[in-house]
Amino acid sequence: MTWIGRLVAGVVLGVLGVAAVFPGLFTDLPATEPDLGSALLPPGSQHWFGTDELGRDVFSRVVHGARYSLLVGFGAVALSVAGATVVGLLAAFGGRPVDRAVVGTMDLLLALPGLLLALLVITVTGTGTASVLLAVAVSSLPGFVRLVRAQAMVVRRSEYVAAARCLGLPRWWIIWRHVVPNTLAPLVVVGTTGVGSAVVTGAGLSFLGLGPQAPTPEWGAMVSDGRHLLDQAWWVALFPGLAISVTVIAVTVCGRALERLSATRTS
Amino acid sequence: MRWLAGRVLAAVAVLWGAATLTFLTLHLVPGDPATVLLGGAAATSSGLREQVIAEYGFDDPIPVQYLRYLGRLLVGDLGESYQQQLPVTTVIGEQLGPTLQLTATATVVALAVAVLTATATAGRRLPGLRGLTSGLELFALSLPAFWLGTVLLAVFSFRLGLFPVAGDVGPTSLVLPTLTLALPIAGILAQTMRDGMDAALQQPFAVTARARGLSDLAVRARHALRHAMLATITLSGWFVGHLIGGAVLVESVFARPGIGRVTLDAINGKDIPVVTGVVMLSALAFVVISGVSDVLYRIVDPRLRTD
Repeated sequence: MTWIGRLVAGVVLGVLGVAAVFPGLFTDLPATEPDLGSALLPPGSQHWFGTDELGRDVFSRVVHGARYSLLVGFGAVALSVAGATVVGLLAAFGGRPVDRAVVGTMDLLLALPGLLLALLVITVTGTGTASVLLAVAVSSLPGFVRLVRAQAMVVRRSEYVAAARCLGLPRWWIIWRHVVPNTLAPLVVVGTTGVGSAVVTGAGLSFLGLGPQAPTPEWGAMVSDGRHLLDQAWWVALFPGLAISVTVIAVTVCGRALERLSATRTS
Repeated sequence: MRWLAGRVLAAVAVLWGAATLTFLTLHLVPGDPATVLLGGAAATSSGLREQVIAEYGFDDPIPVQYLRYLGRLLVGDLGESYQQQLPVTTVIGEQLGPTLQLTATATVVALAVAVLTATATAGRRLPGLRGLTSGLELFALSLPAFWLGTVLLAVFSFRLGLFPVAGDVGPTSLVLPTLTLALPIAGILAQTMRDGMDAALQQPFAVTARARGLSDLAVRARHALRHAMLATITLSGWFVGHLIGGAVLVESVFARPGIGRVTLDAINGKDIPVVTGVVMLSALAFVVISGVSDVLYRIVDPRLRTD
């Protein structure tokens, strides 16, 4: 990937971020109020991405939808990484039985398909954005726990931890001051790359009708709505799906750039 | 023999863990389990509620319930679907066919595409090839299955009228769902296989084979491919997960009957026994496939056959 690609990805991600917080900067048209008089208009100068069957502007809905996908993508990964840090450190420092239990549980969770795990969570919590966020976080937890545990094991054997122990510093202080920062740094990089798949999983759950309910302009749900209109209005399903792909590509490219940066820095 | 015993033990552990997980799910769902199992029906008839409590023994202590639950699973009794008033095994069994069909064809297509592209492109210095493959990989990663399926549907079914729009009506209705499920998987598999083959072609055995006068294609197909398969077999666990998860979405896009629809209906209706059944089934699929892949390892790689 050239630097131009990375720059474009960064700019796209920035624009998406702004759209998530201030959708009003990009469009004046309402995202949820129906306007039956202008239903199913094709893309044009008035409605860039056309309108859906309730006459709502698809462009406006796509802009307003950015916040749900970004929230689920970044939120789920953040939650997952936080949870994985606790569990992973517990495994690395809690003694052999705890480690065995954690590794066993994570192996089991890895045996189940991620989507199925997410569906199990939603069975318990019900539908909605928060549920989807939690479900995606849980489904990506086992992978992160493995990483934290492995990394913490490496840090634990490092000379600076040995030195700290020799100085008689308390265990919790060593973990907090030395192990956590050195474990989290590589994880943040991996996490960024994981945001892409979190966005896809989250949108998939919404597509299945398990995310935020109508009339929320969530991208996955919009593709699902537009699926029934494919024979007369392809634009309703096309643009939200495109938005998902663009977001995932932008996040992934940025994540890889970050990965590269940290790799050159440590070597 | 010890190897086999270890494998069986690990398989049992996974199934036991999955059973525990589903048991926890049932008891974590807000509200008491009897009401959850009955859904809306609980409010209308209190007699039914008592009946369910008695039948499932929800009055018993949790450990007793847990052991009884495991005992039932052990004899293959997954309970009864409260939406359909049928045994879960029947509900799932009836819908297993279309899903197996879809996942089987998708597996064949994904493997075929991956093997062909890897064999054709590994070790070659074609201009732009690296960029193209990493671009395609990114594309596969960023393309949600439900979205790819929708686009295929729009182009090939609605615009060109080549394939049926929805449902399960003969072999033609299987084409688009198969492609939707197979293409992203093929992208990742091809990448892995190609890397494996790149490495294999550098090995002394590849050079030796070529020195014996074998053609380039024969070296690739007979020697390097076998080597590249190893890395691919390692992915089998991921592969199964992707197939099952993908099938849920793909079946939803193409309105196909199958396990995906059963799962969704069960989740929306809080039909926990069916959800449990699907989870157990997929754990079983994982266990079986990882067993098969262990055997495959030994067939593909003679170095592992020593013990």
